[in-house]
Amino acid sequence: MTREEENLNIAETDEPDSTVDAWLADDTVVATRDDDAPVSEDAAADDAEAAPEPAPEPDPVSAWLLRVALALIIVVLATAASLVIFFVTVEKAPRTAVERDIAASEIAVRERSSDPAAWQALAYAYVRGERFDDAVEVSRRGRAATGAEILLLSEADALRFSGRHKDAIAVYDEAVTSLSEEESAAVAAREKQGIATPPSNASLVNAFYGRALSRNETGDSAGAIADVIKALEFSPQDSSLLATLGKFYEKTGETAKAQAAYREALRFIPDYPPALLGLKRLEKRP
Amino acid sequence: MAELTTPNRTRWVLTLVVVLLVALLAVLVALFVSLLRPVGLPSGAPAAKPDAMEWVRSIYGYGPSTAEQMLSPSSVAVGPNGGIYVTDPTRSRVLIFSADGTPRGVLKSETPSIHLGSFVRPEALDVAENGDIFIADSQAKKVVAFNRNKEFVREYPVDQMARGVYVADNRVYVLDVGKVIVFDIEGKRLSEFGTRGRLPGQIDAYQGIIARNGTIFIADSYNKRIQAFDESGTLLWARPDSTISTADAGSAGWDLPQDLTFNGRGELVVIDAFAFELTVVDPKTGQRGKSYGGFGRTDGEFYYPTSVAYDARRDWFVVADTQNNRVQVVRIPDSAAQPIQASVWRILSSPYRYLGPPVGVLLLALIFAAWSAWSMLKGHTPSSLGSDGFE
Repeated sequence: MTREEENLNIAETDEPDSTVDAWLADDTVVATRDDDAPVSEDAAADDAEAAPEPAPEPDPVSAWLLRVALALIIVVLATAASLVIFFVTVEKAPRTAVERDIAASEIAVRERSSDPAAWQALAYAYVRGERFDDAVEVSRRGRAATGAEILLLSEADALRFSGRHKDAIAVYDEAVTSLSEEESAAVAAREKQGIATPPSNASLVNAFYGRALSRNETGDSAGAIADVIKALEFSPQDSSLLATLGKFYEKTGETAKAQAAYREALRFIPDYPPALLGLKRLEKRP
Repeated sequence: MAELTTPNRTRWVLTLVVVLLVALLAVLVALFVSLLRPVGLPSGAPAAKPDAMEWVRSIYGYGPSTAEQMLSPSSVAVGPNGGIYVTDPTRSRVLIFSADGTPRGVLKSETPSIHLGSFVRPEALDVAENGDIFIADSQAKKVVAFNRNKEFVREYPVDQMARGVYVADNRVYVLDVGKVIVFDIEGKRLSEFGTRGRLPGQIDAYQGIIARNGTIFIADSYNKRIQAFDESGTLLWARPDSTISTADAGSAGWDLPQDLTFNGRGELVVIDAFAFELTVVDPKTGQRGKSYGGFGRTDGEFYYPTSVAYDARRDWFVVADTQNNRVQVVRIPDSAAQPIQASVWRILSSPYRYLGPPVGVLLLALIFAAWSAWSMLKGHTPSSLGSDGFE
C-alpha cells in the first residue's frame, strides 16, 4: 500500500464527521485526497512500517467549547436584534410622572433657554429621576446661561439629595450669601418706595432649610438649629420648619424647646402629623 | 513554565471567547432591562401589600412634547383586543393605545364642528365588540360612531347633552342631562326614561352608565349615589337610598361617583373622583365593598379620576386620572374570572416581552450545550479528559 493509499485509507475511516471536528483535528496528521497535500513528519518517519497509524481524534472539550461559543453568538445576536426592534418600534412617550416631567422640562429649556425657572424645573425633574449629577450639571449650565443665582439652590439641593452633604453645604453657603444680598436690595428698594413689608423670600427659606438638613446630616446640630431659626424669620408660620426645629431640639435633648416648637407647628396646622408624632414621642420619654 | 500544547491552547482561547460572550450577553441584557424599566417607578408598594391596588403602567401620551400628551383626559374604554381608547376633550381628540401602552393613533376631526361625522368635545366614549368607537360629544348634542378604521359610521342625536355612552348587545345607551336614551345600533331610538333631580329615580349624572342583563346602572354623580334601573326605567335600587348632604357624603356614601364598570366576577367597580378611589359594589344590592387607591401625583395615585374601564382578558382597570393628565392601568385583588389566563395575557402585554426571543434562544442554546456535553462525556472516558477536564 502506498503512502498516498494509506493516507487515503485513514481519511476514509477516521475523517471527522463535521467541519467543527475537522477544524479541531490535530494538525500534526493531515489526511487528504489531494495529491499535493502535505504529509506529516511522523508519517514520513514511520514510512517503512506498513501499519497505518490512526489519526488523532478531535479534542472533545474544544469541540464542545466551540459549539457553546457558536450558540452564545446566536444568543447575543438575537438579543441585539430584539434591542434594535425595541428601539425602532417603541415610541419615546414618557411612561411615568418623572419621565414626563423630565421630557417636558427638557423641551422647556430648549425653547426658553434664558428662563431660570425652566432650568430649575429641569434640575428638580432630574433629582426626582435620581439623576443627581445631571441635576448639578444643569443647574451650573443654567446659571451660566441666565446668571440667575437661584440655580445655586437647585445645585445644592441636588448635592444634598445625592448624599454629598459637605459639597451641598458649600453651595448652600454661596446661595445664602447671594440670595441674602438680593433680599437686602429688594427690601431697600421697597423701603425707598415707602413700602414696609415683612421679610419674605421663599428661596432664602429653602436655602436655610436645605443647609440645616445637610448640617444635621453631618452632625452639626447647632448649625442646623441656627439655620432653621433663620428660615423661620422669613416664614414664621411654616409648620414644616417648626416641626423640623422640634426634631432637631429632640436630637440635642432640649425637650422643652422641642415641645414648644411642635406646639407652635400645631397652631398653624392642628393635625400636622410630624408635630403630633413628635409630641407623642416626647410624652413617652421618661 | 510548561509550554501549552495545541489542544490546550485551543481550549484556553475558546474558554476566553465563551467568557467574553457571556459578559457581552450580560451587558446587553442589563442594558435592555434598564431601557424597559421606566425612570421613577412607584417604589415597591404592590409587592409589599398583596391586598392593595397594583400599578401596572401609566400612559401620558404619544410623545414627549406637551401637545403630544393628554390634557385632562375625561373618559376611557377598552377595545376588543385590549386597546385603550381615551378622550382628550380639551384638544378635541381621541387617543388610541395598544394594551401595552404603545400609541396606535389619534381620532380627530379635521375641523372640529357639530356637523355630520365630526365632533367637538369628546366627553365620553365606549368601544363595541366589533371595534366601533362611540363618542359622546357634549357640545354637539350627539353620539358619533366610527369604525375601527376611524371612518364615520353614523350619529345618534340626543336632546340636550351627550354625557355618557355605553354599547352592548347592539344597543347604545346614552346618558343625556337627567335621562337615559336607548338606541338600537342602527340609530333608532328605542326608549328613554328619567328626569333631572335629586329624588330617588331622578338622575343628575356626569358620564357613568353601564348595562347588563336588562339592568342599567348609573353613577349618579351629583346626587352622590349609584342607581339601578330596569329597561323601562323603573328604579330597582339607589345607594344610598336618599340623597345625602355634602357634609355626610364622605362617611355615608359617595363623594363624587363618576363612572362604573364590571370586573371579571360581575361586580360593579365605581370610580369616585373626590375620594380618589376605586370601590367594588354588589350589583344586586348596591352595597359597597372594598376601596382601593388614594390621592397623589405619583404613579399609582389618583387626582380627580373621572372614568374607569375593565379589560377582562388581562384583569386590569384603565382609569382616566384626569387632573394628573394621564391614564393609569391598575389592578385590584379578586377581580378576575380566569386569573391564570389573565396572567398569561398580562405577560404578553408587558414591555418585557421584548426579552422573549433572546430568552428563548438562550434556552435553546443551553439545551444544545447540555446535550453536546452529554454526548461528549458519553463518547469519551473520564481519563481521556483529565481530572480537571483538561488533559
